[in-house]
Amino acid sequence: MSGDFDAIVIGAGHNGLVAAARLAKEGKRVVVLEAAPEVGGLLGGADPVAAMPFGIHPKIASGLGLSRHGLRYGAPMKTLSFGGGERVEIDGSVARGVSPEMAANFAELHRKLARYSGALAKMLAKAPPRFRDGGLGDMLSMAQLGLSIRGLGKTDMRDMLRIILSNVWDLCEDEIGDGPLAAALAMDATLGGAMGPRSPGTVLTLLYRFASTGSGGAGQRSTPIGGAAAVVSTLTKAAEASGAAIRTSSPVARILVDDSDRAVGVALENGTELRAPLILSNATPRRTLFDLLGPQHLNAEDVARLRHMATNGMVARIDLDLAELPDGLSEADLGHRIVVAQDMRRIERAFNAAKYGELPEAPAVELTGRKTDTGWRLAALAQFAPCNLKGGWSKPKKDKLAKATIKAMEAAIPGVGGKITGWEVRSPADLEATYGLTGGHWHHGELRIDQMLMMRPFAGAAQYRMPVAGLYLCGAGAHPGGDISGLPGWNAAGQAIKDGGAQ
Amino acid sequence: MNKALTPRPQMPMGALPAPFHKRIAAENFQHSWMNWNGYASPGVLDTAEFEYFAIRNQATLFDISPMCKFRINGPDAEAVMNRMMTRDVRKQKPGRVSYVIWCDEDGNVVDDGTLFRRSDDEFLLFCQEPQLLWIKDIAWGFDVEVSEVTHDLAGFAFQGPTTAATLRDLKIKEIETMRPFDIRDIKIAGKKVMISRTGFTGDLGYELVMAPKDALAVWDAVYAAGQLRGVRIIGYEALEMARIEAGFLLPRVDFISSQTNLRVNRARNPYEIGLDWLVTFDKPHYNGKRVLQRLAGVAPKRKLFAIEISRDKAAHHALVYHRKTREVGFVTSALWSATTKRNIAYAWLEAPFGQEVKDDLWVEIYLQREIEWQRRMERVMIVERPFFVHPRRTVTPPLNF
Amino acid sequence: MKYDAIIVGAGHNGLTTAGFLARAGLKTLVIEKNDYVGGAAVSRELQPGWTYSNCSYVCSLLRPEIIRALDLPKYGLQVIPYESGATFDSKGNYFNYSSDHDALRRELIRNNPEDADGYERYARAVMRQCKFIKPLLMRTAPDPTSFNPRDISELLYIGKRFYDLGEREMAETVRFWTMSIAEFLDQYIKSDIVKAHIAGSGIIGTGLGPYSPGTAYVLLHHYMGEVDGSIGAWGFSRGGMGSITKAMALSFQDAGGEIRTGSGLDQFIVKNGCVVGVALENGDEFYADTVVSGMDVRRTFIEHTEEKELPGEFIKGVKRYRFRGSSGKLNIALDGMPTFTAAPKGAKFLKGDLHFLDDMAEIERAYDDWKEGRWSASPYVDFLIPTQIDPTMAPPGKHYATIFVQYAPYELADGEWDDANREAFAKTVIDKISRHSPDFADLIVHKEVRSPADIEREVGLTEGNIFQGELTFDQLLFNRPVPGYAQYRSPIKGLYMCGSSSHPGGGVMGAPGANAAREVLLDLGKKIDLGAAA
Repeated sequence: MSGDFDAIVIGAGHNGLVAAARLAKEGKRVVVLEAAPEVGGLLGGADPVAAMPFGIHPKIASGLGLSRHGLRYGAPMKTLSFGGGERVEIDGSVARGVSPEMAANFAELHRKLARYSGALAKMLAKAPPRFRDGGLGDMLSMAQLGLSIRGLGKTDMRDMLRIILSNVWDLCEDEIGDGPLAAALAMDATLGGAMGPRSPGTVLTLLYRFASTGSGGAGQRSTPIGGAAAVVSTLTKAAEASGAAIRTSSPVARILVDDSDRAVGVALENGTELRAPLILSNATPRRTLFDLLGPQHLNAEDVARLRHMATNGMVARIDLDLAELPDGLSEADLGHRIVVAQDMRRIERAFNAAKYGELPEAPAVELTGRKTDTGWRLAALAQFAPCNLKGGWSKPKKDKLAKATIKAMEAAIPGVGGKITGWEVRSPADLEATYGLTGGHWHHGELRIDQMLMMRPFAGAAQYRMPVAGLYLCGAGAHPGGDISGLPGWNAAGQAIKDGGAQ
Repeated sequence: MNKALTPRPQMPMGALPAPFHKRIAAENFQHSWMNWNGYASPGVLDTAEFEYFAIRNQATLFDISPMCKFRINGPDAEAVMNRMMTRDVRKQKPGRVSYVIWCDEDGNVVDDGTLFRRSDDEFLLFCQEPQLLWIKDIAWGFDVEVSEVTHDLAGFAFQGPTTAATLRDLKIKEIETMRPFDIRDIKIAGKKVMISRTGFTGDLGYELVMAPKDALAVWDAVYAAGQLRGVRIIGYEALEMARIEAGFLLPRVDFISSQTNLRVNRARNPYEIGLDWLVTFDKPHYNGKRVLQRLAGVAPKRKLFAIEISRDKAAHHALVYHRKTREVGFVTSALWSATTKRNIAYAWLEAPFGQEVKDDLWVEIYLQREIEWQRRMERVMIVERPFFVHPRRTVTPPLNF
Repeated sequence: MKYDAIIVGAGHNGLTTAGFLARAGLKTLVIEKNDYVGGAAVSRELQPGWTYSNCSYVCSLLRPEIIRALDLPKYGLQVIPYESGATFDSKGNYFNYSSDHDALRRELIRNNPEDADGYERYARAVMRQCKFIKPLLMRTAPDPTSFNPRDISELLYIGKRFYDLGEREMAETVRFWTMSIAEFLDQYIKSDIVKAHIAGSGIIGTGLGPYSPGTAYVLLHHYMGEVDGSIGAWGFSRGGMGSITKAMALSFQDAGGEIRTGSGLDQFIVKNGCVVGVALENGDEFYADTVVSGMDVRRTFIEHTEEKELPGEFIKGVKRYRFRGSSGKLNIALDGMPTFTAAPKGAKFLKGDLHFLDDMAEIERAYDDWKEGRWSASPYVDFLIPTQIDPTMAPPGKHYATIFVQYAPYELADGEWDDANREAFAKTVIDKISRHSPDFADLIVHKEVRSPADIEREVGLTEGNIFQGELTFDQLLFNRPVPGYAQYRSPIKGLYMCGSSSHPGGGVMGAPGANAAREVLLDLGKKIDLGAAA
């Protein structure tokens, strides 16, 4: 098929860039179309939404030669979890600031989770198999997952099959009890989603997070030197080095479909039409299929599946300006992941209100920080702040959330409240408006078993191939979902290349 | 909560009287009622056989008010109907009716029905199964209004060779130019009526639709005018006989809607049902199109056939055998056709039977003779649908018979 | 005295196992700590003239295979289906779930024109799952970690059934088994009151809210029962739930079995890793090489077995097994039939299950209270007056109300389950009902209030969990009660489990009891035909 390009990638988020780079590396003529004036999506800007971009997947880093383009990881990050005055420090499987017995239990739990996530990890790095009608390759893929779980040995396998669909609450209660350690794990299990620690399914999200954040081994993580900007710039360089063109300020209005029912190009909002036999969209599933493609190209059943996809984002980003740091927080601390939730019970309470579209009295917070010209800026992720807030989001609601967040932080880090000179709140609704992020959901859709693997974004469209031939989904709405692994983009490009070769 | 309020009565159970109930009840000497979509519908009024012959020889009235009826209107009405149906609805002009089927994403048939195009942007859809949610699902994202009008429209089928003459007596000029599947807006007894030259009998006939408040006046006028022409009210049993002869299929009898099947492998596609003549690919995407395109090229795993059976006993609920031993299918509808004097039926046959292998097929018929049962094996011949259509059905202007 | 088999606990599962063993020719003894048989399936005259089904209160899950095999109708069991039910909201509206298809469609359309079609889609989805799961209930769950031929062949059986669903239904099945009942219903139904009416089945007896993933399965667990092949139908056992266990006991005794009531267990007697009998609290000892416990897994192994007889991993698993009682119960003798403000005169649905709810969020908020160790301020109530259908349960003209309440915690955050708190709990429930039925409170002749702690004390259900343990995925199938011990056998040779702590779990189903009997007999070289219906 002739066209202006071999492939068009819609959206220059990290997954779009990964997809473009892989396609270009395979010799495809690729153009990336980004609506915003700059690339990066949630990783872009001075204060990127994704302030702690853990782990581009090693397979991608080596496949694209990212280190050649300057990607360097910093020292492994610790987690500092504040529990009402005292704090605990988590460094991989080592917990400090707790009793030796607790530390031993934590280490055992941590190693266990690392083993289990290892059994899942292979599954994340490739297209998910179909349930049944996917042919021999998919059968092998399924068998491989089965074998890797069996490979854990009888005891681990039994334990994994027991906990896999259960909740992080019960897991932690059984193994380490509630407290700041459990809170740190529960934040990992719930951040970005619409589930509380007691919600069944949160062990699976925790395992996912273990599996997908691992540049430094499962469960231990670090961010690149230079942060989000470094991820964006190395991916951009990798893509451009292979010949991919990146056009910013080029919003796509719609995806073009020809009479033979194939996606053949895109029309930009300025009227320009670009053609290519492969279209990869880094936009959310709803935005891609409803807004850009249009429901007329879909069967009604798929429209319904997509309408009902759970996409209610519940994280607000609050940037807090401080003139100076409080006593409980040092400059060194800001290089780490700081969890201010105290215990799982409080996280669950914060989730309670959100279920009804209300704001929590005491949000649970994960934060990091940086030095600015005038002092310090903390990047706080506050949950649970539902996108579908009753009565909608407004300035007073945002201020209310900011104040509640500061109050919750003050309870754990005394003195922090008094140092805060100003704030800026980005609600999930803001994220939706700014980035076209459906429901303001980080992961483009809830990571739950019913929206995972061969059911992400929905059953029948889970191998990156969308219902219209030639159209692929390469964002977090596709397997394996969110975080900054780049795997959806990588896998989608692989699928497109495979299909493209066959045409 | 303690404030005085008049409690809302419970919803009534079972079948409710349809708009023509009083007239039908007066002639329903058998007191035989069936529940059709929540309405009381006559099974047989006096004698099914005579009611059937009235369809083929005179004029008959049958209440079709219980049919599920939907209105689709708005700027995207055509696009929505075209997205739903396997036929090209763009080719259907205002004032025309078409027989349509629609499919799910797997190409299995959801239902069949008659689609009335009232104007560029308004359609009425009549069918057997409730479809409101289905149509709304199809219409999601389109600028169109979908509403159920089942209870807002009354209607009756007026079928038989003397129907045209009766309508002439009522001074309905429009019938002179009405071809089959045409719609006209007329007045009878001063009431607005939508008349279409359509029906379920394979014979000359019309369907009349009006507001429920006008229903009895229209019925009475037609009934009175038909007295000279042997008009007769009929029940479901007689219509069923004509329906089978005329080659029409009935959901829940001959096939099951893919929206109601409990067992996943019971849904059927148009190629299996033999309705592939309604499927076209020369139009934009519609529901199930991608799968139907794949199915179009391959022989169906099973197929619904019209069959003829030796001797005269109708093969109700019969199993079909190859070489009298191997079970290869079953009968859905069966009838001793009094008009064609043939023993006819529809039967599902597993491939290759009926497709490549047409010989040595048998039905197993059980006959009760004064309590005692007998078993017979009768020969099966594969034939074409319909079993009977009279030329008078399509002649325009219609003749007086 | 030496028996072939001893069953501990005369609940419906214990009696089911006992019935099958006796019919297989085993000399079988049942011991029961209470002075009456029945466990949680009892009819008790706690107020003269009134019969209370004071624990379990409706019947549908009891497998027809068991009713038939133990010939229970011969011993007086009669299950009468009930027709309908209703949910009243706070605005004077009600939703009447009618078993009549047309009335139900009309009612659904009245609430929302699309809901009649949506409900039918929903019902089909549930029916498909019921059809899928039904044959699994009367089978032993295979161990996925095992290479034993039987486990592999059972896994293949389930795998094939799953495969045969086809790709779309396979996905639907995974979704159904893991989704929340709220999101599951949101796919099909728009009206809040209709969703609230249905969602109750997703949380009854469960420490989860309707928004929690996994609750759609709990709904399935309540729907997979049947009355005469009508899946999902519920019925009353004539004479109260005790009629079930009474019939089972008679059937068992007719087959030569022996029952000793008032015989609380002290300890299982174990020698060289094998069970050899039971020692009672009163000092009596009875011997048998096969002992089957109908008690829940914690009671069986933590309270009545010496720790040294059990492997550490197993004990850890048992201790971890979650009960978390979440339900309370009010049993009330009424002087007459109460009236309901919003119900029309002679409303048929008053004979069915009544609820008082606006939407699913109200149930979720009730759950939030429970999480904090409080009973729900506005609880979910499953309210029935069975005397309208079975007048034998109360004096003429009088009535009996069974009120199941979700949620009530086993342990209160503030205080104990003492009389004052019980009374306050009852008041919360009665006040809620009184808002819809102004004469209800005045008609009360006698009431019995049961917190989870009371249910534990009287019936022996740990923490008052009505299913002998939560129905979450980590405690279902091969995980129930402890991975590796999900086939009714315990680490101690000859000691078996037949209670609802085992697959497929609670409800007055009898399936764990029948499955345990099969495993016992298999080990003894005998086979029984449970006549499992396809």
